[in-house]
Amino acid sequence: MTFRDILASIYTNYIFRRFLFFLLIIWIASTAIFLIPRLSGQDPVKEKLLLEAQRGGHMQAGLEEMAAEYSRKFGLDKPLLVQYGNYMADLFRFDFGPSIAYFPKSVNSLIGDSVIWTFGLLAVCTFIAFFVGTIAGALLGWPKSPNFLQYIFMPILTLAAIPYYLLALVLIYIFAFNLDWFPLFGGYAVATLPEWSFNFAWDVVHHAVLPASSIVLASLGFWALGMRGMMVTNQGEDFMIAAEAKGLRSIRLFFNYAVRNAVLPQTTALALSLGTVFTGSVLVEVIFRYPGLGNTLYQAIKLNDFFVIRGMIFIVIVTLGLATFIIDVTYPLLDPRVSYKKGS
Amino acid sequence: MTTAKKVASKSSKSELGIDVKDLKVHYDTPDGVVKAVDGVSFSLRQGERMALVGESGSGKSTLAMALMRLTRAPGRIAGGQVYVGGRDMLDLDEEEMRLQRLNEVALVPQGAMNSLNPVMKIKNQLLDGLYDHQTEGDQKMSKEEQVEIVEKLLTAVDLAPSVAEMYPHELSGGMKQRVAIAIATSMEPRVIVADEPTSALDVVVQRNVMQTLGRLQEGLHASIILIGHDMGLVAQFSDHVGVMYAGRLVEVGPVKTVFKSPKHPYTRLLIKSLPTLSNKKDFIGIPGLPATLLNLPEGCAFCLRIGQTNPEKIPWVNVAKDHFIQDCKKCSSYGK
Repeated sequence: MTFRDILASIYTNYIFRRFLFFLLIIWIASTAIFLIPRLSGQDPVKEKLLLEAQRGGHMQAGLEEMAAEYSRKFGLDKPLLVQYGNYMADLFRFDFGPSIAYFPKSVNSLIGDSVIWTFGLLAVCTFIAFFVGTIAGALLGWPKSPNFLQYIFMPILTLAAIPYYLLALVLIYIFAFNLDWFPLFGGYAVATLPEWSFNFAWDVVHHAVLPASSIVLASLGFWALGMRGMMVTNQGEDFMIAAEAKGLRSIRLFFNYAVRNAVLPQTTALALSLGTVFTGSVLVEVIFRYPGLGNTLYQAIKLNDFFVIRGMIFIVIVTLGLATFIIDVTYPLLDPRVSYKKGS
Repeated sequence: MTTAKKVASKSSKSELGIDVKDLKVHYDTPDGVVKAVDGVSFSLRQGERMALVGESGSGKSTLAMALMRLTRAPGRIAGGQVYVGGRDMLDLDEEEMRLQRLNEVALVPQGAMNSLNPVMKIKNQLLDGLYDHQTEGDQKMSKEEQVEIVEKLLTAVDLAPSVAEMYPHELSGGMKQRVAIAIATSMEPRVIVADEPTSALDVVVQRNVMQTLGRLQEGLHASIILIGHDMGLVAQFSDHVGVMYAGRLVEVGPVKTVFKSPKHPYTRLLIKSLPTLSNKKDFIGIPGLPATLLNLPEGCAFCLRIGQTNPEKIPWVNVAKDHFIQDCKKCSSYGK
């Protein structure tokens, strides 16, 4: 085996171990999702039927039989361990069953319809906020930056103190209600159907501007302040002083020395916030009635749509685990001090 | 600048390596001005080694940074001249000064452990200084040239060429400091400022690193200013020694004479306080605390430490060949 082969095997080994860890997290979390509702001791089918019966105004005979029949149909009469096995098998096939509120629509199709909207809006927003915020923070934390930057960025950073849903309401009031520049709500115009055309794409962008702005403006400060703090800390490091004594050009000092080191904790934070992309902005989606996951989750909670909620939670767990996994695997490329080798 | 051109310019110019005149570094604080370096003057011929010693807070490192013109706010260089190669470095604009660094004056930094960029390979840290000193007419270095230069620089400091591909965290403290020396000598500077270059290393490694530094400095015929508080190291390494107290030089002279017959009371106490094997009863310190540099009055600063005052301007007195002291009448016989 050559040196290269050994390195390669260590590399893959590291990734393999991280991947096992990723699977372990998902297994533990999904087991928790399975157990917690069953610990409550309530029978959701029976309760649903009771509720319906009360709404109807008269007690229906045979309610018990009906509940038992449904339980049999859903497999709830089987021993816990068998239920657990079935549940895990379903998860393995990414089968979350039918939606209760929109029966017979499946949870998968419900989530599938909205996931693209959320992912498009939030992933893009997170990246924009990360890049703009990090660059702003880097410039703010650099002593040779021109002074006027302080006057531009500092007011923007104060927006970080405002909750994004409040910001969303303010934006709606100003730009949609008063100025009428952007639509009040929705992911696309009411009378249109989604299609692959330029007009529809433009419509989507037009609808996304306000929700996107509220998310970006509110999280910009987080990234900028974090980066600025790291830049300032780095200024005091010995290697920065030594680098300046080398007579390096400012641009190299800035990018290769200051930013390159300051950005490391930022990337960890980016991975974690990408992990929460799907649920991060439920309130913004609700306020803008955006057809994304957040809104779907909100509706599901309102309608007690247990299977949809469970599917959502599972998706959140998977994305968070996946984000952690990706950062684990890529971090050694960013920081040579974190190595793929075991024990260091 | 190619090596040949530079050597020619070095020998054609005056023998003087660095000439510091009345250098002042002040820190503006809300309570007043702190004179961290207060009118320091000295000069060094090429190839000479001078050490600056003194307690913590005596202004040694501040002086070192000022020689590189790297004084940071709230500090500022409040006056004086630093001539290197016939030019006053304090008179240059920022870009000219940047080009002087590494090319004319180079720093071997304090705190070897953290003086390298943790996320950059050693070879790139050796080369980026060279890149940034290339002028527009210069040709871009080819891959082969880069490898060759890196290998030459590393072997000169007794490091294996394979170190080029490593990251700082993979090196030991001594190796890191060797890399720092390789960087500092990469452009064959006229002056090397070594700010406590071995303070983080153990004694054996210290000795090796200092030998490497000395060998390279001799080869380049560069002046070296060694900042340190390790008197033993200083005595072994340098030709001249300057003793600093409260931001001022109080005694300057050849190492041997100063150590054998120190004339300033502060130097005397400093040398006496060195622990020796034959006398291991107690550590002999220096009484009192170092003078506070805030609003330090004119006159003798050492008098204040021993409870005296002498507001007169203290003259420099030549006590032996090349040996000068700040001769204060009130305290000069203290501790004899």
